[in-house]
Amino acid sequence: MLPLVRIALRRPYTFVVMAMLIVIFGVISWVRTPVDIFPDIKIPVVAVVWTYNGLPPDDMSGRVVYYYERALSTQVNDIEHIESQSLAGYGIVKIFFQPSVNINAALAQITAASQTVLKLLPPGITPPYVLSFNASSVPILQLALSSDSLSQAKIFDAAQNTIRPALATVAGAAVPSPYGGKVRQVQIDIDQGKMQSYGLSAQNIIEAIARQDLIIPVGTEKIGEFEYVVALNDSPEQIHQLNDLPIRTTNNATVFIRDVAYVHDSNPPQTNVVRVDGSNAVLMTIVKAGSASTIDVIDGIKSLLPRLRETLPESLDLKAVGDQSIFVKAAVHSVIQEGMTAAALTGLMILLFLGSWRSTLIVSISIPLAILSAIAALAATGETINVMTLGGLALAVGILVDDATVWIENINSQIEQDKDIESAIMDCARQIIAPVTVSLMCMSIVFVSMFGLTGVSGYLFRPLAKAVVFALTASYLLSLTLVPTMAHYLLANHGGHSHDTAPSKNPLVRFQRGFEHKFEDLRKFYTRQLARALQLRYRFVFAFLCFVGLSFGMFPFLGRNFFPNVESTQIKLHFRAQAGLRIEEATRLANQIEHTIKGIARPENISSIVDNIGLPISGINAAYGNSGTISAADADVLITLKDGQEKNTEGLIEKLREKLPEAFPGVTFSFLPADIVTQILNFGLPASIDVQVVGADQEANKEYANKMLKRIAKVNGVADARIQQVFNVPTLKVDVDRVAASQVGVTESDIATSLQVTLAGSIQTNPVFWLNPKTGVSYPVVAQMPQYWMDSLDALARVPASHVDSKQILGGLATVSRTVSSAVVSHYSVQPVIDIFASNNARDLGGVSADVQKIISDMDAERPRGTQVILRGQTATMNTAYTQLFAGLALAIVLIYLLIVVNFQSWLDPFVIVSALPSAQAGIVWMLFLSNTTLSVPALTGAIMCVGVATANSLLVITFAREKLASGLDPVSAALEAGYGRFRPVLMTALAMIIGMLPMALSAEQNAPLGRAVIGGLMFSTVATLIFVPVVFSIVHSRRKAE
Amino acid sequence: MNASDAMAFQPETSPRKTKGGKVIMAVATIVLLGLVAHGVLQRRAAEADLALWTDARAIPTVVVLSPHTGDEPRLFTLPGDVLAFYDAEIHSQVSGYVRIWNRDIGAIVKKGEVLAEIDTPELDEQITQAEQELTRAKDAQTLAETTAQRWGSLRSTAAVSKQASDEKFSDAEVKRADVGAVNAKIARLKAKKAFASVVAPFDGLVTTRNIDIGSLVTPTEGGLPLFKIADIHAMRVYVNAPQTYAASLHEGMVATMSLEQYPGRQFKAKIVATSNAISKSSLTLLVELLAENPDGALQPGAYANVRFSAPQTDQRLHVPSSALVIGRHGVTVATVDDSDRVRFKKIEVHTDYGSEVDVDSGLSPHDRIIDNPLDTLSEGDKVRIRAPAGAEPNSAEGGEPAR
Repeated sequence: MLPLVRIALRRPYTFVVMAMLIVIFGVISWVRTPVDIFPDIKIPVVAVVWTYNGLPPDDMSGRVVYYYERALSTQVNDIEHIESQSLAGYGIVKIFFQPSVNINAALAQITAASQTVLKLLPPGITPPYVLSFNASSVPILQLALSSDSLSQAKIFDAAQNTIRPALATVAGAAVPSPYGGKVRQVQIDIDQGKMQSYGLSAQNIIEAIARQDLIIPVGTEKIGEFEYVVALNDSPEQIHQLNDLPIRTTNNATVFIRDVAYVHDSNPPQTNVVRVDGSNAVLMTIVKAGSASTIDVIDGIKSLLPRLRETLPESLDLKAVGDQSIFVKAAVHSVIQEGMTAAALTGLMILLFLGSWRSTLIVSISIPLAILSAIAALAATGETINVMTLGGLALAVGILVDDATVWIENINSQIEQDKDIESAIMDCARQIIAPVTVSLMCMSIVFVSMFGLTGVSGYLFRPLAKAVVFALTASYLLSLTLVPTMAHYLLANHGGHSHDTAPSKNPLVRFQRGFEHKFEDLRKFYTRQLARALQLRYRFVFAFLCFVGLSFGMFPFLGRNFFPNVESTQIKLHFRAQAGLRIEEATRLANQIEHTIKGIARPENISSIVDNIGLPISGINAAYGNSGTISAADADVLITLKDGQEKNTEGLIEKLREKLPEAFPGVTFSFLPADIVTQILNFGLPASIDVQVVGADQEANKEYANKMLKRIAKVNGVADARIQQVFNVPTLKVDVDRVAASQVGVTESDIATSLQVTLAGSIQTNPVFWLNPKTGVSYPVVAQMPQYWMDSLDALARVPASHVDSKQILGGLATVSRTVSSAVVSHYSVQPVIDIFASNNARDLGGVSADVQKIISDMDAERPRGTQVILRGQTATMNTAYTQLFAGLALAIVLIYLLIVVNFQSWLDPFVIVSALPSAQAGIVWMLFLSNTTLSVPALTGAIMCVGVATANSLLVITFAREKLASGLDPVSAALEAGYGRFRPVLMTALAMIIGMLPMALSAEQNAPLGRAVIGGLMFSTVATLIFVPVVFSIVHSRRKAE
Repeated sequence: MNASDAMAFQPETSPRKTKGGKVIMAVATIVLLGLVAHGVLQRRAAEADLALWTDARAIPTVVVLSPHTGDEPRLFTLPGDVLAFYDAEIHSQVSGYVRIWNRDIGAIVKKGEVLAEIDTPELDEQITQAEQELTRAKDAQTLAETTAQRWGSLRSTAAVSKQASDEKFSDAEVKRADVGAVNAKIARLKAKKAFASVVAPFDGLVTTRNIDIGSLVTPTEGGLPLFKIADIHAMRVYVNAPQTYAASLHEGMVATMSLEQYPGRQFKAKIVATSNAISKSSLTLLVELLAENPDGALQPGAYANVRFSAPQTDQRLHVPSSALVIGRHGVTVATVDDSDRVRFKKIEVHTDYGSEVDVDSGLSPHDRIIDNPLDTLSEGDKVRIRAPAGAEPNSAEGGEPAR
């Protein structure tokens, strides 16, 4: 390392150029690197969406999903687990992979598996959609489309066929089908009665359309010198022309489609309604997919909008809502601002301590350079600029100050010994390179412990650790190169503290001198106290250890969260009405609920309310969705409060939790995370606690889950406890008397076909399309009895039983009875599962989930045989993260100890250093307890940080003390000397970090607990470093001497 | 700095300082303990509040209703064929070419009205021939009678034998009979000729005309009728009622009919007869209804939806189907007992009306039944009851502002 310093002095331009290069590349990386809220959580997930119109969930699960899941488990490698949801008409299989997976091979295998099972599945099923995404694929922007003159079907059409393809060109934007509106479709409203009177069946109509609406190229003909294209009127150009197609001719009478049906531009029965501020609308959700940054995606889409508007009808109102980039920008901005404030404050502090603007200049040039090089390194290793990496850099600022300051301090003190600048620098380098290197290694080891994290927390915190380590390494290298270079120029004749006592008129200088004076008093006071502690060393050590030990008594009161809650103006409310409620009624209910919410929250506080009612039209949406919507009776209500109402959000939620269930009995309400952070952490789940009851005995499991739910709902701090699976969808069971039917020449298949066309439409078994020649969009042609004609049990009984010329009706051959069926069938690892969802309210997640876990073990005796009960969700992720962080911390301490053993070639001195570490943790406990902050992963990161800084500081003191001891002083004096000598730099480092962390600690952001933890930990560990460590040192060495 | 700097601070133990230090220590300890105690107590209190709040949330609010009695009839609709009161096919009795037709389809005709006339040249020829035959026969008769008279007078003179005379008389008788026969033949042909004018058999509506001027008609079996005439003053409606409904259909029951061509219009029809036997081939009971047709709106051959309403005889308790809980143990309803706890009661459903069912057994009129019961309710759960009226949104208008 010394050669570097030598180069810095001999060939100074080298490092000036290096600094310039750092600025250039740092700024380029800063500009180019995508900005996002979180690092990419590259836990690969592939969703496979099966669609079969009208297939009930039980059949979807049994006839499609199980087959497929079994095929997947044998054909696809590296599966971590498979989850699936079977809904009415959709089967969504999500395949979670091991982190080591080759996702492209897996995708190929998944696609192959889909083809393998296709033949075994119900006839007419199409191959599934295969979507690849990851945990950070969450909605980041929504486009709300409304119009006062266009029909809902037209709006949907514009969204689906004009806007969606245009948006797909934005890198990283995944756009599922629009929500709400009506899907444009050519609808053949068939009249079973009329058809029966003509002796026709729906099948005849579909066949007629298929025969008359063709897509057949007829070729060309060469006449004379030209080759003519021959065009045939094989496909009607207007929808209404389909009405005039003949079905058949008997007795000179031609029956046209119009005679028994009505073909028109319409929509299938609506299953999904979106209301923006009370009026119907279409909502397009843009999901972030792939590695593009949130901001880039949103900016890309926003820049497309003006051009897009021109291609849309003028009366279409296009509005962007739920813009997460605001949140991301604000979060990133606040971290940057905190970092800047911290840098400014520490700069001032250094100026105050060093009393020399030249020294301060060196420090304040080296810090941004270190940060810029860290950013360049992060960008080069594929990281983005996000809250975690910026948080890491903000953390690092404090330590960076330390690095540069140590050099400056030391060079100054060398100069004070009347050395010329070059030898001063070289001597300084010789003296401090070893401790500085060891301290860098200590810090790195501490943060490397975070690389052991797996899962979501691993993806979140590895970049943070990386940022810190990069910044520290950069700063270390800079302090070896650029700092000496600059010191060479700047400190040549101005080194040292302003020791000339000539009175100055400059008030700042006088202030600084006053400070120096006070500081000297403080140091004297400190030394006196240290001396006393050394005198009463055993008692002191005992008292100190007692104090530290007792401090940990507060630990259980802290509570544990995964991540601290952030305030937001958004509330996402999910409600589920009685199973089987029709969409029209659910919409009415949503309207009433909206009113109630406005009554409670006051309309002037609300910026907008968006309702999303029912199951989206495409299974892809259901795959991306994370709100647990399973049927038309489900709805999401997104309430956005006016800016500045963040503080009221929590109170409002509590109030809504009180009032809404009372006002709407029979409706289940739950509050889902509205902010992008919790959505990412929940990983597609609508709640933080997910108790899964897995096993084949569904009936018993249902009862068991029900019992468990009752107990979980009573757990202190649990809110929104609910069971996700709905088993009681009202169902009409049509029991055909097959014998009676066969006596009159009707088969089950006749009845099934007739019912299908009447109730579900013909699209699944007889797909026919009509091409709109103007827009080039093909629309499905579907024969279906209009829903409003089928409105009673009597209407069902009247459905023709047969398509042949017969007057048999369903009611004559079948009995209709009531039963229930499932609205969703969920599997986990190819086993049926019941989810009990719950959230924590006003209590820490750790406490709540510990109580839930206790209920699970209490109820183990009642558990049905073969059933497993597992606590999943954020809780599980949190517990893993905590275990890993604690283990990492312990390992880090051991490694540090071993490292220092090598450095000092002693077993005892490293022990002295390590013995100061518990006090840092005690300080964190105090700080969190007093500031009412729960333990969280950021707070633990702070704890890790403190370990690093405390070690580094103690290391300096002990190094000094050992030198003194080696120079022949007795241990007590050596300890006293060390304390006295290191008081200034240690206090400076600690103060720099504490001041640096202040803005973060005082903010209400995600990283506030980190700041608080660092401040608390440093306050205590500094005391420990300055008093406890010297005392222990003296004890240890006195004993050795005595021996 | 050198060692002596620090050494200067070696403590010279002074009691005053130690005392002051102790005071400071004591104060600091008390402050810290106070802070800890405050923190712990505050957390305890918050937790206790939270426990109360959570427990209150764990009790679901429900809306209850009472079953009501009712005698709504059971409604069902069956397809029916509308036929005319009388329906006659008019065939030709004569062969010939249609000379003219007077009434077209849709015409209202009176009994006896001539609908068409048929040219019957063959018949005419036969009549002419017969008339000529008559002349000849008459001539022959005259001759025979004259001969007989002559022979009679000759006999009185016994100029001829009795035998010969009788022969002549007999011949005259035969010739007279021949005339009669020919006359009868003419009458028959003339009568046949009368059929050349096709007339309406009763008052009614011409529904079919299969002939045109010049078309040949023959009185063959199974040929197309010339006309069809229907009596539509009232219509007969035939319904093939599936076996399941057979027991509910009685003579005299009134049904309403709707027809595609008259949206919104209801026609009354009354059951006049049933076949009282289930057809083996279609498993249906043939039911005949009669519908008055004063304005002729009902057209024969039309397809009608016939809506029957079978009255219920006993009064049963009715429950909205939204209150039913269907599970492993059949159909139950969740009721609330006097101590506000959930009790499930098993019920037997008699008739399902779609949005309501009537109950055979298992309920009393004073039961408090939970409407829209949550799937997670179980026996013995405590619930809070709320009046159903409060569900209206205006109740929330008085809500307090958000904190």
